[in-house]
Amino acid sequence: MHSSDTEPLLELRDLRTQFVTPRSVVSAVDGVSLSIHPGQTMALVGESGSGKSVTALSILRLFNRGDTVKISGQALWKNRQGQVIDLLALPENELRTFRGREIGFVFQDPGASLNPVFTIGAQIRETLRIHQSNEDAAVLAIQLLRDVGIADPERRINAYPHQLSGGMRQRVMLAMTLACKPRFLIADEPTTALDVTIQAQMMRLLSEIQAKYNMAMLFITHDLALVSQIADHVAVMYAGQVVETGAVHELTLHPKHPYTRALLDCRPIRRYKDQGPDERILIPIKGSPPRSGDISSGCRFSPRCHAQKDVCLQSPVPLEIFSSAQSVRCARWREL
Amino acid sequence: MDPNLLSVSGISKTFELPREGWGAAPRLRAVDQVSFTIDAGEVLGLVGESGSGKSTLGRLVLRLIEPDSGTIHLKGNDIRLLSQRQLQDTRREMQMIFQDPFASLNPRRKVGAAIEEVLELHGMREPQARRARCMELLGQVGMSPEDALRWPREFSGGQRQRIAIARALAVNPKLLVADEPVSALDVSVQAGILALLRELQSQLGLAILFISHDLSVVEVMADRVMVMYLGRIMEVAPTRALFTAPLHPYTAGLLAAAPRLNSGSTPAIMLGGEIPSPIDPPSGCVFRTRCPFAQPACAHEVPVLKDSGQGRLRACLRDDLDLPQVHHV
Repeated sequence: MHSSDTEPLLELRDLRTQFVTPRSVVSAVDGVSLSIHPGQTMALVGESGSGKSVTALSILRLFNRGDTVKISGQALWKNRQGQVIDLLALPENELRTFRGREIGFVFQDPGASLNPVFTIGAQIRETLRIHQSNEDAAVLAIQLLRDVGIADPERRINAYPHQLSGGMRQRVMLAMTLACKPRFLIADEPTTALDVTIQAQMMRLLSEIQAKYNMAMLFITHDLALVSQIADHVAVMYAGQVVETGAVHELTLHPKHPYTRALLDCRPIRRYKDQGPDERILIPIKGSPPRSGDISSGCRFSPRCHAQKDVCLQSPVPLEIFSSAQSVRCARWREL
Repeated sequence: MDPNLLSVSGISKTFELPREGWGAAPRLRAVDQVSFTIDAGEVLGLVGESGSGKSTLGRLVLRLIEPDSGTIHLKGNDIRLLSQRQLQDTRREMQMIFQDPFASLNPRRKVGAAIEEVLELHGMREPQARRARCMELLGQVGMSPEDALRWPREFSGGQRQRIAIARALAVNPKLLVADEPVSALDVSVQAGILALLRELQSQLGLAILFISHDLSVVEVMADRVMVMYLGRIMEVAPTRALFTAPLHPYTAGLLAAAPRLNSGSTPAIMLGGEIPSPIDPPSGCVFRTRCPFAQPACAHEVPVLKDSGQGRLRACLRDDLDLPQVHHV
């Protein structure tokens, strides 16, 4: 466990991201502050639409050219010289050198991130050639494929993306990402599309790679069981805001926010009984996350919360901060 | 008379793929000599990785895909002998729900009309009776009568899956094939759909073939579970037995890979590699290339699915295995 006085590698301060269309302004991220320390893994958890992916994309401004996106706040990055720079204030051309080199990205759908007309070797070598000679790049590319657990890399390097399975493509994506030795990896639902046995391999690989390369990681997922395997800290998001942060075991064993509790409880469980029928525990969260237009003026989770009282509806609930690593946004957590 | 509601015996399906260049078209063996039964009111879980053939098997049972060989008996009648016309009537007894509730509803048809359409197709001519039945169905799946006049796009994924369930139940089926019915939904919504299916199942005495890649979902839903790999059945057992004391190395490997809350670290890898291509499956036991216990004999002999007592079946040549028991919390 790191001491809390080490300086963060990346610190988000009051990040706000809005998508602007002629008809509306959709607020996807609404005041997120997070710190990620060198070599540590922060998990970002929530339902779809909670703003977890947009938070990650905002750090490097990875949006479609056609989208009008307004980002405010700060993303303070400590560079290799120890200087702190705000990524959100960097002009596009300077930010480009950050993408990949300092901060790597692995997405859910590895097929969409690879170019179908080049062999995977060509794609890895191209990434490497920014820093290496051709011969070195060829050798390194094979080494990288071996690092990400691809058997027979000398042969596989000549394969095209479509000749590989989803799990293999995800490994190739990771190899390309590692080519630049980033200090920070953003993994956005990297195992969601994979089978459970391949997921287990990928999770193991990610934690080994992280230790070997001493990378910090932002791991985005909806699965708290995966979080408990890989993360040091967790931030739970709801409707564009962080509602709880904490060390992974504290948060999963003693959640303070009713939403975190509900996310843990909605996992299906069967309790076997020697007498009588087994107990099947299926506790959904009622309703669905708010659309941008109808966000409650009080606690945003209150319409779905079983513990809702008048106090929850009166005014927006601030994030109560206990330490740099622990906070909760709930007016009633002490009573619950 | 067959005591089982559904009795499938030795069905196989091979798909012919488009030719690449010269030579014979490659053949993909999706389902190979599969036999199983489902009792009335029973939930049979079907698990396996993608490429195991579980979705194909679900479609074969309903004859949405024609099997190459084998028999499928529903209430003692071989549905493979039915004409398309007769099959139409039999479909009343067997319905299907799919993974994607966004694709399974016509966006240009209001919810009520979509449900009434099914009723009309199956011979309910009286509009008032149709409307009444539609309201009853919406109530059964936890929706309100007003929802009948709304468009599919106005509903969330979970609500659409409820509508799809109402449509499937419209004709009082005895068997439901549910193919990954909650996989496209947020975890927060999944539990509600699963609880609904379980409730309807016991109320209506429905049998369900419940197909999923998600072990925790199958564990909570199924009475018995069937594990499939590369088109073949590896193991069948009552749910508790399968999840706490697996008898087949593949089942044990799947269970070990499933993420558990607060297990501390990433699990040790029991199953390396990936499922091989069904175009060129391994000889002998199809699982042998990933099996930590494979022996030379496994390459030559195809293990048959054999009774191992207490309602359990497994297909493995090795009788000397001591597989890890799973400690349940």
